[in-house]
Amino acid sequence: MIEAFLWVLVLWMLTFGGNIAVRAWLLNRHRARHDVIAEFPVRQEGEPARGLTPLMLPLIGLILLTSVSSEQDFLLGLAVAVALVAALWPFYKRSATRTTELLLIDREGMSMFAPRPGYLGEGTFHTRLLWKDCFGYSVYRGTVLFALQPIGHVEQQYGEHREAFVEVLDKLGIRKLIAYDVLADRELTPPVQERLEVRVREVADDVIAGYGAELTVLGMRITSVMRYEDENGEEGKAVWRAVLRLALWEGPECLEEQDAVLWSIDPEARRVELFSLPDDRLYETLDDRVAGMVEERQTQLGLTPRPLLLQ
Amino acid sequence: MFESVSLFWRKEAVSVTIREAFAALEELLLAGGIAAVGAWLAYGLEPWLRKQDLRQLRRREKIRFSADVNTELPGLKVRKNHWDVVYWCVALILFNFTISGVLRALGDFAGVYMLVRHFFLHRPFQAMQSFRLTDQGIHVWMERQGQPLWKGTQTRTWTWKEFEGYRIDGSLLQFYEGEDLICQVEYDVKDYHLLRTTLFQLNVPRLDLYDRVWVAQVDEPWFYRLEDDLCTIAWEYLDLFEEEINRLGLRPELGVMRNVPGDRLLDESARSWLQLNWLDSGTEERVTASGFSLWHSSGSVGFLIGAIDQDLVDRIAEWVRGALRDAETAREGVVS
Repeated sequence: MIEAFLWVLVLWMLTFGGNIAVRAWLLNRHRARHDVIAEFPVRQEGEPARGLTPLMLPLIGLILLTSVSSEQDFLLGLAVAVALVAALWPFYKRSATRTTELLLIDREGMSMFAPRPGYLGEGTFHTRLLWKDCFGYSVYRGTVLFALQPIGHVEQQYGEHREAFVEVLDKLGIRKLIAYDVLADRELTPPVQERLEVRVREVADDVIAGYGAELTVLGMRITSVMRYEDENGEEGKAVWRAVLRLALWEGPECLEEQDAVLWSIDPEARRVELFSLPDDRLYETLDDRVAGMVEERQTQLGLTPRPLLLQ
Repeated sequence: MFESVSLFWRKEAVSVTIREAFAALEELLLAGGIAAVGAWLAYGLEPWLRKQDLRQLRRREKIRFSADVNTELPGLKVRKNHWDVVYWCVALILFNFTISGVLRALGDFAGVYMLVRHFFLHRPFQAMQSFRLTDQGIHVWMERQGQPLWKGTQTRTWTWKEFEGYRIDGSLLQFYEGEDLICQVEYDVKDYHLLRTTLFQLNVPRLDLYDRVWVAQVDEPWFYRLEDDLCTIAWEYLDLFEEEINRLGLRPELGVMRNVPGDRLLDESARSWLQLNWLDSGTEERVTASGFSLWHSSGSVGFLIGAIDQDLVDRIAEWVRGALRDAETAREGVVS
């Protein structure tokens, strides 16, 4: 009877149970070898409906096992073991190995441990992307698109961990290729909006303070104001926007205005474009805008010579 | 069948003689040998078939450009899963020790077949896509991706007359007939220049002046040299029209303009273009201006000027002439 039990155990381990053991072993080995900075579990929504075909191989194995011996003890042992596996099956189905993808980020690269919905021999356990092969990233609709060098894109879902993920990527120095993230409707929550607005405001104030000397010479000032717009674009589609307006004032008169869109919601298409850049590039962008305004004013007043064309 | 069971490990079983063991081994080798040949014929013949095709092609037509491209992404390392081998080896061992007769032979056959199939499915040739450009047309061998022999071969051939023109999209070379995409192949990024030169020599028309390329595909020093060369060519064309320009009383101003500082050419919304301004020679006022875009980036992809050699020189000449005509009309508008 013990033999029968062991047979079924071996059969289960070779088909499905091995997934858990091998994945855990690979994860431990990876964590021991690489210094992992951040880990993100990404839950895969829904499982592909596979019906009964995944069970074909174990069923065939079981039928062949019954042919090993026709003793009652043996068959009883088989039945008990099969009942045990069937009882534990729902727990296996909902386990992390079958449903969650693990992203492990370290200094050299990123490892993706995919969920294992199939046999031990199907699919892949471990995929790795090295940062030296990665040219940059952009965020699009629930996935981060890594641009590989020189060609190719790798899509990686981030689940609910968008901000933490992007923060780690920025810390590692991987460049952001596109400043505006395209997100789904529900990802733009009020806390996210507020954090972005506060951050951009602070950086804008820093930038304007940096131009204090030039502005005193010109006798002008620059203000930064948040505006919320609800405009009807072409074809009468409503678009909601939050805009940072930088304005150059001379006394009571506003000489020039520049708008920087922070987020814009398209309610029909259910998509949001969010302005998201690491701190240093955010400073650079706002600095470019303010510098442009100040320089143009200076040229108009004849204080700085106009740059010549390259000839 | 089920009576001829022999349990090797049971204490009360009949002892297995050397003769029986050798018989089992013979059976395994025979069934396994047939299985190995079968799996090789089903999954492993692709390289040999391709070589035969190429040999015949070389006899018939003159090959201008050859490419064997590994279509797997070079930067993404996917660790292969060889646990199948463990599974089938264990199955083979258990089969040989527990069951005998026809069932065992069948089991041996199936086990060795699956092992050899696994070996061939993980060979690098499964992801190889080849294509050859000849004087008559293009021959493509698509990647096999583990399909067995009875799924058929994936070879396609087209002549140049069937296409209206070509486009380059990232690392894909696409051939169009009107609005329809007829053929799409992947080329090695390092062959970008050679490929365009060959297509130009074969007189395959270009559908777009610009190629849509991945930003990381652009070689910056090469692009700066291209900018300088195009600027020089455009100035030479302006020199040809010197008399006419003087007659109109204009002074040209031509140069390469960029909207970002030098090392940020691959940033989002970076542009590089040839700017031609016509100034009045007396008052230094700008009469008209026109631009010829060379590079326009959107962060991850960009539009790079793709025409080469004589084609490009012709387009620049056209642009300069068009700009001069605009200036002329502007002038005449003022005068009359």
